[in-house]
Amino acid sequence: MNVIFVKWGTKYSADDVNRLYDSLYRPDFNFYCYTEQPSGLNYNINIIPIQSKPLLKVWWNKLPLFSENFPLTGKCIFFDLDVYIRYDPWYILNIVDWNKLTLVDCYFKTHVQDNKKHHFDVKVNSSVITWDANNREIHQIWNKFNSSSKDYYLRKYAGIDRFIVHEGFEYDTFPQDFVQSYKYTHNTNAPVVTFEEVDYGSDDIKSWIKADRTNI
Amino acid sequence: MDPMILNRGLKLIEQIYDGSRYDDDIWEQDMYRIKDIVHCLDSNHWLSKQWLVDELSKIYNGKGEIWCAGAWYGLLPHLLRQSYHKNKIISLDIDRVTAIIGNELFPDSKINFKIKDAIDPKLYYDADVFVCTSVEHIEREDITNLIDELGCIGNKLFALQSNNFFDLHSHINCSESLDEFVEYTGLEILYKGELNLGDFTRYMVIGK
Repeated sequence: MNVIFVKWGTKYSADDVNRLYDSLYRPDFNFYCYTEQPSGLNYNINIIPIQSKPLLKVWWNKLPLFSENFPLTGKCIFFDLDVYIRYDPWYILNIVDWNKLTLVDCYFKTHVQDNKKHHFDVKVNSSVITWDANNREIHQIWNKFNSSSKDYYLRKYAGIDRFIVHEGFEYDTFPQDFVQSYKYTHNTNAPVVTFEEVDYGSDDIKSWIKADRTNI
Repeated sequence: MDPMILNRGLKLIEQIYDGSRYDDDIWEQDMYRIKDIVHCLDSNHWLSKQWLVDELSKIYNGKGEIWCAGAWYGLLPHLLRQSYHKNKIISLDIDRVTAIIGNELFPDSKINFKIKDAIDPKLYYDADVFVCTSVEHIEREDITNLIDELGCIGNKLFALQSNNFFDLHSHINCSESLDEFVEYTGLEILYKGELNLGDFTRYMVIGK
């Protein structure tokens, strides 16, 4: 199993990567960080340098993970650096359909409509993703983006979730009890917590995580 | 703004809306094109591109080919046409829809729209003037490669604009300052300047 993080720019530090690595560590898994700035990363995390072309900013650097030239094969799971692992999440690997791209189900965003191509928000997010790197259909996600429309997509979409949904790629979602949202559903008991639309580095969230660790 | 162009922009928006009601091959139910057209006719773009035309026309009055790289829907070629009546003006962009929209917006400006990846130096071997007001969208290595390769062929003039608007994800090659922009182009400077547009500053260099 390949466990992958992406770190670009200065918003997240090597400590953020290392903390997540510690939360997820399994000796039988291979851990990777796709980054342009590897200093300070735990030496057990394999570094995959961010490709120089095409030059991408922020979360758009998650899309090259789906390229057929990305140097990994087989089963992959990605975690955003602003997720909090409450307890062992690995049971999910026996549940997901490895023939599909699997994303987080934002069922809790009841206010969001995403059935039209110009809707801004969507009801999935890519805080956690599973896929098989050998799957040619997955490669099409990168191929479509890295095309003559790349600049247009960068203007049109706020992020890769909208790109995947509105460009019509097929995806599955994790069971709803696998991921909870700090903002929308933080009273459930999922192993993974996401922090969309809030400041992950804030004191409030640090305190909440600290208290939650104590309670578990 | 020319009211005729504004009117054509509104007609295009109507076409896009109508296209969105059917399985349309051109607009692909893509309502974002509406916003893109509105942006391309924004006053900031008019000001920036007219600034380039005003400064370039003080330096260049030849009859050669003027190639506009990454020219989007063709506002810059249109404005160039108002000062360069006889020149061949080519508008290059990698997005196939730009030619369709550009021909609708500026049908009388005798612009030759081409759909090509603007970073290939071979495209510009016949150009007298290479113009690009979207340098912030093009990787720095590609811009310097173009300047280096074309600089070796004849006496070409370059007119380039970039900006310090780092926040947009498509802006992958902004500059911190005019000096930084000028320095990495490596051009022999004939004009350099900056235009304060409120939220950001646009930089321009004209040189050889």
